[in-house]
Amino acid sequence: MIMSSCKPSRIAGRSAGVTLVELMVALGVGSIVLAVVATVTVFGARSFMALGNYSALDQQSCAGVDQMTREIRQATALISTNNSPKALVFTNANKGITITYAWNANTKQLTAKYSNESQERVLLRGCEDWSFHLWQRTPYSNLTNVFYAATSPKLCKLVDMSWKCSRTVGGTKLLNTESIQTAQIVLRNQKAN
Amino acid sequence: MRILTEPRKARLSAYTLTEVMVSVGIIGVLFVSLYLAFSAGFTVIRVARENLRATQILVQREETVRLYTWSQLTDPTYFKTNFVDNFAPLGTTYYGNITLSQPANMGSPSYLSDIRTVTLTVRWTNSIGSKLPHIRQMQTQVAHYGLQNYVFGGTAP
Repeated sequence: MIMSSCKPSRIAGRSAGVTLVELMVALGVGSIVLAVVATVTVFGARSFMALGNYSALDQQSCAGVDQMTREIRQATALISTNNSPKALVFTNANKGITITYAWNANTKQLTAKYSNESQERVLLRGCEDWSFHLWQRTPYSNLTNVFYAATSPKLCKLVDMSWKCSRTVGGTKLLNTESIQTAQIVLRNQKAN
Repeated sequence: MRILTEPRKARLSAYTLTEVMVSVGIIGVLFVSLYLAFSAGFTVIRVARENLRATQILVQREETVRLYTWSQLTDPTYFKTNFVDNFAPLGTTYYGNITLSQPANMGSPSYLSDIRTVTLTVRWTNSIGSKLPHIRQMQTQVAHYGLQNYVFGGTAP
């Protein structure tokens, strides 16, 4: 009788729930593990978004600089410049066209407008800043690749440009990726005046 | 009955310390390799961006080399050969220099002394990790009598 009365109590003991201590420990360990997993996931997702943005920005900048390099090298002269909105107007006398590069601070786009095309082309999107400097053909002595500043567009032989493009995800607080590019392009067909 | 319950109790018991340690070790290795894969990926992207910037620097220096006349370019006091450039977003500094040399593998034509091979070099170190030194080079050739049209618009210097 004693043995048989023991039997159900043993079964009840085995199928009983967990103790409070066990539950607390399990909760603690579980939440730590979950926190670690969540951190890794968020960190990973942010990093991969940043990497994607960086490569997209670099790709865009590369394509932009390639196109501008090709066109400015072939241009025969710089006609005019503008500071607000920032713009450079080149002429290609051999092709009989003018090319206008303009940066719009509101739309954050750098565009190229060709006189023989009705639509302008967008070279850079998300362009935070675009600046240029104009140089003459005469180099300074005892320096490396430093030239006299061009005081008028027709003296310009070398264009120095830099721009900054950025992309944000969920506003700047979550993620802000930036790409900065510089380019020096010689107007190869520009003749001395 | 008591004797019978002994083996059942043993079967229901939790993991042994060894089992737990082994599993913790395996999970640790998995996490470490996950993080290493992450950081290796970031390093690859970073190096690619640094390389891209190095290429830009070389191209833009090379672009302006041809604006120098032959006498300016070959005059070491006129044409300074060292330069420093940087990549602001990553804080990388590039140290460059330009060397002029007699072209190699051209034989010895009579105009050999009127040609120079221009070698542009940039060096930089990775600012993270092992400070791995990097070096990139670009070469072009300039000729004594080949620049007038480009620089002076058809008039001889």
